[in-house]
Amino acid sequence: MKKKRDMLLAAGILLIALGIPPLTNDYIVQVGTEMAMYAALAGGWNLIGGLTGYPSFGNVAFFGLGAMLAGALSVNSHWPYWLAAAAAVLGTGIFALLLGLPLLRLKGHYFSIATLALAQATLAVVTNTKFLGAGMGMSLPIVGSPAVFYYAMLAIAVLSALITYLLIHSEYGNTLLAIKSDEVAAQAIGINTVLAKSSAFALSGVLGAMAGVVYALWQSYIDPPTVFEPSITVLMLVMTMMGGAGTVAGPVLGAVLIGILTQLAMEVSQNASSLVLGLGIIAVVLFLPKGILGFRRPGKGGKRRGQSNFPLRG
Amino acid sequence: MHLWLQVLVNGILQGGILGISALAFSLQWGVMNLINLAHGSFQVLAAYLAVLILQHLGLDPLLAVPLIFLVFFAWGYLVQFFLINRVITSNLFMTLLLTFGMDFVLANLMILFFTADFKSINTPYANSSWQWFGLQFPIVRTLALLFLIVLSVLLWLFLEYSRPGRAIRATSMGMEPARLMGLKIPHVYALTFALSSGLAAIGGVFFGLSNAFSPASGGPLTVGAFVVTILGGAGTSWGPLAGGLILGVLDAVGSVVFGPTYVNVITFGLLLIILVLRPNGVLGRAG
Amino acid sequence: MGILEVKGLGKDFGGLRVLENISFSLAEGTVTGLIGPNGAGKSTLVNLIAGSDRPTRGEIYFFSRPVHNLASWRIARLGLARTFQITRIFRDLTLRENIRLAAWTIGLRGSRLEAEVDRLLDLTELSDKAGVLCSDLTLPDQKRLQLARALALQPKLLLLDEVMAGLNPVELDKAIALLNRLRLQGITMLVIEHLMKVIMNISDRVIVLHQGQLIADGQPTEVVNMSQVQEAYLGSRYVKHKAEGTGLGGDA
Repeated sequence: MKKKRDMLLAAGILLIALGIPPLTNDYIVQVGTEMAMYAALAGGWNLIGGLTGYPSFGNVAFFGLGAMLAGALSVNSHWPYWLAAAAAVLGTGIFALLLGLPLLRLKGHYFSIATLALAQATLAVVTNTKFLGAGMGMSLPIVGSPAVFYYAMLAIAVLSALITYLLIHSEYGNTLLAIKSDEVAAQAIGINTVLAKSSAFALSGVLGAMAGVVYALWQSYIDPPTVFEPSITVLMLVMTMMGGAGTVAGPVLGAVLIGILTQLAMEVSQNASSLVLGLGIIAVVLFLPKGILGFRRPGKGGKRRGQSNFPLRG
Repeated sequence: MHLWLQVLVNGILQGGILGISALAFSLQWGVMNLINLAHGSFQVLAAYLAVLILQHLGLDPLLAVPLIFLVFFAWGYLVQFFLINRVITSNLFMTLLLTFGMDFVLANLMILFFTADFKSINTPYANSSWQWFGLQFPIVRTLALLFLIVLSVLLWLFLEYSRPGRAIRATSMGMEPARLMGLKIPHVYALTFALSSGLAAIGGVFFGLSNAFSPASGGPLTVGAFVVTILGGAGTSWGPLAGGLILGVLDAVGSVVFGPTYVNVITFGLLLIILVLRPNGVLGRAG
Repeated sequence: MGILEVKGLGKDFGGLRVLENISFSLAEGTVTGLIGPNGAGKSTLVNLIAGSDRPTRGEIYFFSRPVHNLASWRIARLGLARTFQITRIFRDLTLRENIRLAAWTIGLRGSRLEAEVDRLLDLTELSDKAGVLCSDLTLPDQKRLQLARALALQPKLLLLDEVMAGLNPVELDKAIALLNRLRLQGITMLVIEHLMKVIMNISDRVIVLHQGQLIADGQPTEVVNMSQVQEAYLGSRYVKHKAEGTGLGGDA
């Protein structure tokens, strides 16, 4: 019955989300697109940071790489955009998988900082690659309408949540949770932890790249500093933590809440909204360390997800 | 030949500013296993404080160093005692996130008060150099390197021979032994953070004297301190000096050989490689 | 040829020699007790065999296959399962999920998977707690869970690192009965235990580690009467404090 209630709730939210473009104005659609984008990104972060317990500080690398690759393939190589986008997503996924192999051997601080460095290194390499614009911006053809991009981002957000849901209810998801709890024990019961972690990282990268390729076309102008902006990673992680790491709805809830807060603060100034974000992060750490959904207690024989913090290690 | 000697000198001198910054960063990391992502913003804030002191009190930034050190010492103590101590025992990620939040708040407060424009500190000696052996030694950077050496020695003496220093060292070996020795860990932690905030501020003044800076300069400073600490090994007295020199020279040589836009590729590429191969630093204990 | 062959195994931590030149072999279907004072290197030995740690020197063969350079998850899939002295459980999973995950990694699926989990829950008397989240389990239950999880791998060789510590006398008798049942099923076991009652009860053979060296190897009654074994125990402060607890002082 609890499951049925959750499903109804999800369907209701989706219905409201689908109705936004015909029923509201362009401004709200614009804000909604951004929220959906962050829900997708936070959902992707949740796979590696929330479920697997490897808090990445560099997931913006996947978003940025996806956007830049798709842009370059379509502008410089004249590929149709859908093909450029598919290649960019695939390429970023492989990039994440290969980088994950060495990086996911690191624990604690070292992993977090290594991913931070990964994002910066990717930005630096992109900035120095001629094919990717050599640090200059790229203009993409202006296509579609606000509603089209809204629905595209919404689709990725739904996919992101769906993947998380399917994972949590599969042995693969349990594998990731087991790694988060105790990696040595996970290996001792025959789990190929390297493969499990790297594939979660790659999946996280694929979702980031998907949001990136849609973002590129939506904005129709991209440049490396914007799409590799470190605060995008921060937003993913704060949204997930605020909503509840390791849960399906947590990243979505966090994205919507932070999105609304940001818009309200934006009324005052751009600067104020960043300030609010900073204070929000501090507040989450001090007062809501397990996220909003993390506080839900299980019923008899029920189970909690993402309840525990990241283990003290490294 | 002469060009390369000058490049080498530039690199070594750049190592001074990097090293002071890392001295602070490494101390927090080594003692409390704390990575302070607001580190760079602390330093930029110190540079702004130097500007204010110069403008309103007419006091030269180098003469104001003791004052700035004390201000940040007090500020660091309060931040650790009332904020970071609340989460430092919970888990690593939370402290990382907390300092990230602090960084955001500080950077945006600085934009609010000082605007996002670049500033520099105007002193008569800011852009002048000493000439030795036909080579240029920019005054500020040369002084920074000397300061780094002196501060490293002072820090080592403090940790080795003073009572509070020994308490800090004992705490770095673990909370349990320290507790058994009857140390008040929250205060030892606060003292450690106070000390490293003060050191970070000194580094910030030198950074401000030799570079134009804006509220956004904090991020690269934090990452620089991180790379130097990783190179030299966290929690060692001489690591920051060694790491600062290595990174300074590598960056200087790299930007001449490959071009200035490749400096970040070198820095972050190096950081990634070292993290993967030797997580405890090039000079640190083997892991 | 035993199913496990350990040849000249050594392990250093920094400059410290924790294990030195350990060689022995385990015959299929036997139960071997591994005893020794605290700090003798017993858990390190188990970690090396299970692949959780790498030996500095020496070789390990499992069914004649070299495993000393294999990742521990590969070793586990070959049929070598273990428990941990300090319990390691998956706190974010329920008890049932813990066991099911292990059975799943060796390829069980669908109804066979669920049936096997039910059987193991029943065997370790954990059925009524199957839905409990593991972070809420008591220590004895965590130990039972570790055993169930190890058994879910359908091991040929089981390494048990102090699974009985902290059990009350009734639970202890049950646990001994359980191990005897497993032994009847033909599972080879290497059992670390401080309680001599357990060792004497279930082992065919006992090997003794002292300061990283193998100092005795033989039948249980033989070994506890060897002078070097008594020295190793009585010479260490451990025995003075815990003589009654371990039971060795009484037996020897």
